[in-house]
Amino acid sequence: MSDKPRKQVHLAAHFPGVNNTTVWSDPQSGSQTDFSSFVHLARTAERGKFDFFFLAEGLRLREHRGEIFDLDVVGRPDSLTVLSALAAVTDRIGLAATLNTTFNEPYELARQFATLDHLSNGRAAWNAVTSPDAFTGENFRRGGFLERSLRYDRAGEFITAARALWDSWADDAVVADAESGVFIDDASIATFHHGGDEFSISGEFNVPRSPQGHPVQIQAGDSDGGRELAAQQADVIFSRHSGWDDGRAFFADVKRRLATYGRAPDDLKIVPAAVAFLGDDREDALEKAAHIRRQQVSPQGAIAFLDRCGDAISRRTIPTVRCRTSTPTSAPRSPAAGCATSRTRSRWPRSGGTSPRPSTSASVS
Amino acid sequence: MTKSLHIGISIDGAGQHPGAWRDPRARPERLFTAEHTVELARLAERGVLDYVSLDDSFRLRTDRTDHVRGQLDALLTLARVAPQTASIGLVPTVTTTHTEPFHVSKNLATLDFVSLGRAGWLVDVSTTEAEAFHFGRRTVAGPADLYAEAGEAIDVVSQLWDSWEDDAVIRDIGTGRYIDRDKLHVTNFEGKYFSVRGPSITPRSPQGQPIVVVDAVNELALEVGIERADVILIHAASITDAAATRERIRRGLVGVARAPDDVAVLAVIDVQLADTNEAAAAMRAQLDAWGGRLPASALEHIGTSQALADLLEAWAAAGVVDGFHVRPATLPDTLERFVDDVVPVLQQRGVVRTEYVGTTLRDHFGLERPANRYATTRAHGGT
Repeated sequence: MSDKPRKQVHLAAHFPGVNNTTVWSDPQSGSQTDFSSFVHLARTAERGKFDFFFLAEGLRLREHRGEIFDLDVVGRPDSLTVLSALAAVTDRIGLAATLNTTFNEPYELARQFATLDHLSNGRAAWNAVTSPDAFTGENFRRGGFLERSLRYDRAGEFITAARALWDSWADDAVVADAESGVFIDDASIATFHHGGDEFSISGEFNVPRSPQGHPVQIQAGDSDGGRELAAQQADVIFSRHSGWDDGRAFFADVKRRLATYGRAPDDLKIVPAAVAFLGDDREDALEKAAHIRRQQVSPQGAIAFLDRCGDAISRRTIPTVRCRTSTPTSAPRSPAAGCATSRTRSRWPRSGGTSPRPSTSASVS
Repeated sequence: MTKSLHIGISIDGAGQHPGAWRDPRARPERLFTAEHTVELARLAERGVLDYVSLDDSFRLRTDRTDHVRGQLDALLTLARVAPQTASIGLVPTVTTTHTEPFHVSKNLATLDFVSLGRAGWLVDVSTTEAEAFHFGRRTVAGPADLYAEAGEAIDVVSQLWDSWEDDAVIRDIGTGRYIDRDKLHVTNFEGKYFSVRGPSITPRSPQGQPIVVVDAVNELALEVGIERADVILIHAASITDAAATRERIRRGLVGVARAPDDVAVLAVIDVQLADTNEAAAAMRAQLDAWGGRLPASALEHIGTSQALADLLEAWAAAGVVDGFHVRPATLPDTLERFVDDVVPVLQQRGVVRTEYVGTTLRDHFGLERPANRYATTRAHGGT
């Protein structure tokens, strides 16, 4: 044994929700929307001293051939609202949510995260994602306004603007001195100005600086743009690269980018997706894994999978090209979308996606 | 026998009065903590009141260094309160001018989920240039547009709440279907101010439709309330005044084919309580000296708890309102007095409930859980 202190890893737990690998058919599988399900998982993760509990987001229900896809879990509550409520029934665990930078505005979202950070005494984290598609846009005022190529520009500018808002209040702005009658000194609230291609905003933020100052910033994109954004602005990057060689390459690539922004390698934590099947012994675990995998694919699900992937297979794209998985943020638009599920179980969805593959064990615990 | 009065309480900041935070019983350093709001909500719950409301906006409301500045997001704050309360209704202000109806709908539905059916929505608009600059997307619209847009927002939010039927999640292992997609509905809302396709990403919430509250601060707001609210807050200076507004609302409801009983009318009242009239007046003078005057309101009571109970009972007996939206001058002091001194008197006189009979905010208001507008069968479940 070496005397060198061992480096500890960070653990996050993901609520297995809207996803084709969530086993909803198991008798032990609980409600996907009742608050009690979230409480159970968040408290369990907290008992395990996890770093944070994570909720994904999707702003339009997935469709298949023009109809709402009905074979997977569908429907979820709003993440920030659930996390604020969870702050009341947990003490230490981080509370992380995916929030879209395309269909939100900095002032409102910065307020919401600062609020969550106040309400949880400093436990808020934000996975910033982008969604360029017009499909999701149909649920929002502006529709599908964002060019795909601009999505990381928008995300980066959004985070920059949000930080300008969070930083516009001094840490000790709230004096609340009844004697002198000063609640807040004028000098403690700066006006903010952000002028960019995506946002042109100015004025005064209206939430005191929160315990963490900024929530922990998460990034999940795997494309070059996503990795660059992470290197520039994120504290944590989710990774779909769970294999040894793949993981090493990703690690090296992402850490290499940090120097450009004057950041040290430790400033960005890499959190790859992992799925665990636990049993009393190896044999038991393997049995359980097999059982869960069988449950993940119903006959109807397999047919739908083939249906969606048929065209892609005929173009021989499956073995060589990673199919874009159908993600919570966007419905499948290409024929291949939504495939590559069973064989990429432990991957994050496509860049700009919002959720890791679910921890299947959690859904049947 | 008189119908039970409904009572909601504003629990904003340190109280309505701008000088309230300097009261020795205030804890102004705790204003931005969860505990502050949790304690006030629990206090209101001890008084078996219908709901607490929390104001919100996208701006600093004042430039004065001697006033409270800053506020947390109201909906999230009340979500934080939900697990630590059991019965009290939770009614945040959510504005409609710079927000997305899709988000508003799912956020309020989620507040309803985490509170097991206690969510309400106090609808408001953003009128200032400051707020417009904070979003940088549009110029300030005129009041007519702002309220017309608010009306559309209520429509689409409410449609999205119904976009899932109660029994849409079927988990049918035989067919492999998690949902029955025939029970999910595309709303395809096309209005003047926005179009929203739907359905919501959030299933139908415990109440089906959280309570919609409109503060009739002006004629336009009143119209929105008449057309769409479950609860209308009115500003009336006297019983005669209130009777006239009530009649106006009744006629308005008939005009839009709504039943008068579908809407509860609450009078807004600013309240400052003390043991004697003199003490109440002295305290008000002190608060004024600390923070300047409280903006004038139609109905205000500065005096004893006994006199307030008499006033509320008299209005109730006249049958002009269904209850009151109480705005305490100071927190927690005025609310404590209200709960400990006013409520027991009203309970003795049989004009307010002595315990909660239902679990949801709709239950408190005696409103049915509404059938889903899109449901083809009447087989909607209870909560």
